Amino acid sequence: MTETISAEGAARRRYDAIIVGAGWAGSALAKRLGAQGWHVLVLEAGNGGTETWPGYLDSLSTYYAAVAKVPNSAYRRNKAAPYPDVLDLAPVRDPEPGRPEFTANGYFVQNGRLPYGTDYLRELGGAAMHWLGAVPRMLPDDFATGTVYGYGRDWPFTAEELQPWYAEAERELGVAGNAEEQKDLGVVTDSAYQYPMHHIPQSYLDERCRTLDGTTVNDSVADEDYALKMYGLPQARNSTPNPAYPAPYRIQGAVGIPNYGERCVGNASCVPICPVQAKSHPLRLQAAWPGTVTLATRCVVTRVRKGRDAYVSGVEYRTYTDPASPVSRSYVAEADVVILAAHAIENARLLLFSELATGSGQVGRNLMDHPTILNWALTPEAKGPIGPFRGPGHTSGWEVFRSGFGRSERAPFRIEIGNWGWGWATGAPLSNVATALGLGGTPDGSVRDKGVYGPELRRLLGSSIGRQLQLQIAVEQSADENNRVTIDPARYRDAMGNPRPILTYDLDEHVRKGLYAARLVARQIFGFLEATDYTDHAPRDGVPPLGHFVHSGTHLAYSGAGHGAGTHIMGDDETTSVVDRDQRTHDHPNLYAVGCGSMPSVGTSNPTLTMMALALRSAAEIHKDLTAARRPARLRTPQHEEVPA
Amino acid sequence: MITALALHAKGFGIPTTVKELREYLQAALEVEHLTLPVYMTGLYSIRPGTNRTAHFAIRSVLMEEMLHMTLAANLLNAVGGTPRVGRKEFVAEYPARLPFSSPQLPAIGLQHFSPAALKTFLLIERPRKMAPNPKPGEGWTSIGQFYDSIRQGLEHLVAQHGAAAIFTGRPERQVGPEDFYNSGGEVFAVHDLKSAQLAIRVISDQGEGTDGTIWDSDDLIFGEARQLAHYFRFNEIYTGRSYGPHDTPDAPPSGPLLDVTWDDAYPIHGDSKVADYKKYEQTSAVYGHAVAFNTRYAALLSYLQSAFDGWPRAMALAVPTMLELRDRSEQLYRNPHPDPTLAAEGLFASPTFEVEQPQFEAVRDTVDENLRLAGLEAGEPIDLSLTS
Amino acid sequence: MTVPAAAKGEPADVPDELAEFVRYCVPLTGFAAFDLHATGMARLYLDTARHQVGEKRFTTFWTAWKQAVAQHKGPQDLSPVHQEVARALIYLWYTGAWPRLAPAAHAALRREVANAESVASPSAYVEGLVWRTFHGHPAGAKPPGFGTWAVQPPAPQSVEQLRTGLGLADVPYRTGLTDEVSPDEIPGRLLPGPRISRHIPPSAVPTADAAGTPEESTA
Repeated sequence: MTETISAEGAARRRYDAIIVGAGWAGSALAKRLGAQGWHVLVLEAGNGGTETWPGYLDSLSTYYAAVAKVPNSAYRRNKAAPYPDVLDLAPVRDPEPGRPEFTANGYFVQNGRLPYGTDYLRELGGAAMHWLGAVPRMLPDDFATGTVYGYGRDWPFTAEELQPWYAEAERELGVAGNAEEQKDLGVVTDSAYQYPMHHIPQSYLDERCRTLDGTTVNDSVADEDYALKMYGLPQARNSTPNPAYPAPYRIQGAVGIPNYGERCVGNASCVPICPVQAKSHPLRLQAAWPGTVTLATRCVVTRVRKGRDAYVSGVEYRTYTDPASPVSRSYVAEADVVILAAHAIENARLLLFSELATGSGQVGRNLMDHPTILNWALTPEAKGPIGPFRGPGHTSGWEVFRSGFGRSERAPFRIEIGNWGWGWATGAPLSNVATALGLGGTPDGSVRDKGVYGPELRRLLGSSIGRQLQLQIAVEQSADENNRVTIDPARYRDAMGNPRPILTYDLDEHVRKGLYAARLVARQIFGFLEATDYTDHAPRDGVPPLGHFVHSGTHLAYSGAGHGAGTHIMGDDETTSVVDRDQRTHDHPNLYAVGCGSMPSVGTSNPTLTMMALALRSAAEIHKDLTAARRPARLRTPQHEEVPA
Repeated sequence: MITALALHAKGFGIPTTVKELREYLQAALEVEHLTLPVYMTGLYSIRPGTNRTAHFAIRSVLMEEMLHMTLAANLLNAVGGTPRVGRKEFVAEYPARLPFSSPQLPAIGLQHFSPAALKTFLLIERPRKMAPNPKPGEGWTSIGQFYDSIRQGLEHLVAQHGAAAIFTGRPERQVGPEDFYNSGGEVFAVHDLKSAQLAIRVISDQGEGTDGTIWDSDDLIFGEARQLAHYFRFNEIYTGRSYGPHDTPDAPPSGPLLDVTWDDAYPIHGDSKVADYKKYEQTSAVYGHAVAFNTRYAALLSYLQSAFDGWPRAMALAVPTMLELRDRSEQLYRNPHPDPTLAAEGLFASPTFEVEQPQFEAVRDTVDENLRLAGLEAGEPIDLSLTS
Repeated sequence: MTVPAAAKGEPADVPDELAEFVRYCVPLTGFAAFDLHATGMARLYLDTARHQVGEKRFTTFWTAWKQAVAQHKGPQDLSPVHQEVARALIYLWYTGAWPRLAPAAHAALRREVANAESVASPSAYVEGLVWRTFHGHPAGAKPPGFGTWAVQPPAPQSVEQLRTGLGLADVPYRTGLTDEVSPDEIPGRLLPGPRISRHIPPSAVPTADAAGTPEESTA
């Protein structure tokens, strides 16, 4: 059970470790370290409440009532601990050539050529409260793109070294997957490995797409042919237990209400919110925290405090009572180890404001995401509806463009076969209703003449929604020093007085070519499926879509994937990286920065699983650190040790 | 309800032969099932988005009654019996007499969410200690007593003949937690006296509480959060007040008030039958939808029949059917009663739960076809892709 | 604890008014009275429409629509402003939200309420009919069960089947279009186009250009 205390209470004692942020990484670290007997304080900037069932239902109602059902729509804005939202960005009409085509009007200050279109959430559980739950492992060659393909940064270790930690993370997250497929893909190298749960069933439209297995697609950008083969997606979502999984695995359901959410029931709203909590989230780990872990919510860490020599001594934090008017008080908490687990951008912001880990000059640099290009089409009427808006967001993908020497030419990409129709691209199915009715008027404001009603409307929607296929293609973005987070406390602060992140973001030619290649591949796939392509990224009436750019004479646009990474990049060389292979800052032996910020590259895998593997690996190192520091003065016997699966 | 009512008519007893024991367990299945339409009516007649506390409380009890049904099926299968659920005799006609209750007690009807409905729920879940002691030959007065006599009978039989002679069922017929989920406690395989006793204890404790407390034993048996036993979960709603941690069964709840708004429910005429709706077939679509509901209910029971008859994975087809019934019943409750006089009184339509031979026949082909086409091999991933 | 509905200041359900509202919404929505009642939203939607359009103007619209139905006429016989009100009412039934209207219609209604999309209530979103047009369920509610997304959905009914099933007059349920829309050739203007930024509400998403619009830049 989670013990929650007030900000004042948290400051009264000294801890073995302070963890900043109660998202996936912070919650997993607290669970591990707490189980080993260490006293851990977890400081969460956002609100709690969703760990109770009434609180969770309130989030669900907030989502139901939202007009724009964006990833953060289940959560209320918080002035004291503000966070970015995809609603913060707006396009610019008739932009001047060479000038940004967007404005950013939220938490982020953006001064780059292109928008950083990714959000996150400062709330108990973090952005994992609205994640999809996709947990593919990274490919072996993702760890060495510099050496193998001549772009990006190499990791200080190999995929092989991470394999046992991937397995650990899959147990903590509760993953359903088809191990044989993932072995075939080369990301699971242990031939005996099984996932805790059977794979989540693939959708009917996946099966329609499977008919393309073996079809050759030409990637003209890389000048390579690729044979399509569909693979299921490993997901942190409750499925049937796999009897072949070696250790006993008990399915964990919802937090705050007993016996709920023990299976995915197909609510088809994983993002923003799974109503039954069959989708795994950090509150589950928090519910398993031992008594040695203490949580304080509404505690915004402002700085990490410097101590003797290179060591840090703890953190300063502010608390607030009303998220709408952040009048705050300041406190100090001290610990032997400080672990930043607050999201890539928040970690960077904290390090910059604290003027720590400055040695390499890399803090805040190498900001990454998975720029995602949407492609949408209608499958042929003659073949009947394909059943969109059912099941988890995506259950299968085409993986072949993720690896191979095409990567030298253009960034690799993973094709997600979307189960939620044209929702992301066009606001379907609700926007289908408006456009079929002819609602909203012409550009000059008068009532439109063309529209359908009654039985003709119902028939049209049955077809025009029922055949929606969307391929969302996530492209790897490699580390680029110029994509960065900075702060300017003199000019940009939030309501509490903390510096706002200033983002400078762009896509390099390699990434742009990847997005272009992805678009061309999607066109071919739609052709094979006899689907009518409605993809359209061109400016409309002088207004370019967000993320718009032109490549090889073609209008393209990308969206953010919510995969912020790379701001405290990992490496063995302290002159070029911020943290070492254990996510310990090179400059400060007892300061860790964990999370996606440490990743030297993100490959084409949703990063949470890799982030969790790294966090669990670091937990073992931190335990060693703490044990060494205590020996022989205060030797502890762990209450119970977690046994790696 | 033939088995349960016949047993009831015979009066108080403890099964003395394996054949009798199987009869009692078949009756147990019927008794558990008897409560489902009653609780479903209370649950799904709540207006959308209202009475959330009550909604989740009734839902949790409903799920646990399904657990009890499944455990009863496991018990019956364990002693070499064959559960019979996919047939009209399994379904009671409402209002139904609650087996093992005093003849003075009213029959149990289908009632919308209301104080009267909750009173009925309380009657169903009444703990042994609150019920009068049965007099010899006069029948049981609580469900707990009924299960107690099953337990005694089972223990005697095992003592007499040895466990091997009693637990003769094939283990593949047991339904496990991989197929039944989302309920307090867990389904587990019954294969010996110990697991059988545990199954009986789970059923009794979840209903009436453990050892004279208001709590069930989910924490002790399953390592789950302990919950109020059914009777006390219902009493919270009925009294509009929650129990405190130190409350006892004989005192009313002393905790904070609960938000219960009885008006946020669709009042129904619970005794309505499809025959009544048929009279208004020309003016109201309720008749067709009520028939469809009953037909789909027959499909649910048919899938459960397979699940209890050696194909536990058939639960994968039963659960979506149950969820379909949730949607169908909500649709009925929100429609005015087809009889204009009743509609003018503000009454709404309701599912009738009349599941007869024609309903079973109507779904037989689809059910058989889906069972054949679905991937339902034990231990394998579930695959409904070929079903309809 | 128990407050009778009347005491809360809400009108007790008036079956006649609601029954009539539902009855004339059948030809607008293409859903049967049973399905409309089954949402449990009839009262909320009638109140919402009255509030948004204005009591008096809503009555004018409603009278015009009832007259059209009585004379076996369809939406094309309504005035442009009434067509827009009809569309908004249908949008409400289909999505649970009141849409953004054509500015000209909003101006003609002389309303003080902002011309912006808003969800009538959290439960209204859940009861949207649009999901049923393609045998789906609202995202985030009424889940159909584990693995059901693998099942092939049935084909939609034809307009004639729907019309017959609902007992509707054989009149055009369309405006500005000569023929019934063929599902094989849906004009782009009846489909949503890209949502150029996420804050655009669903009812303000522009229409699609024709399929296969050249993506080549002229810049």
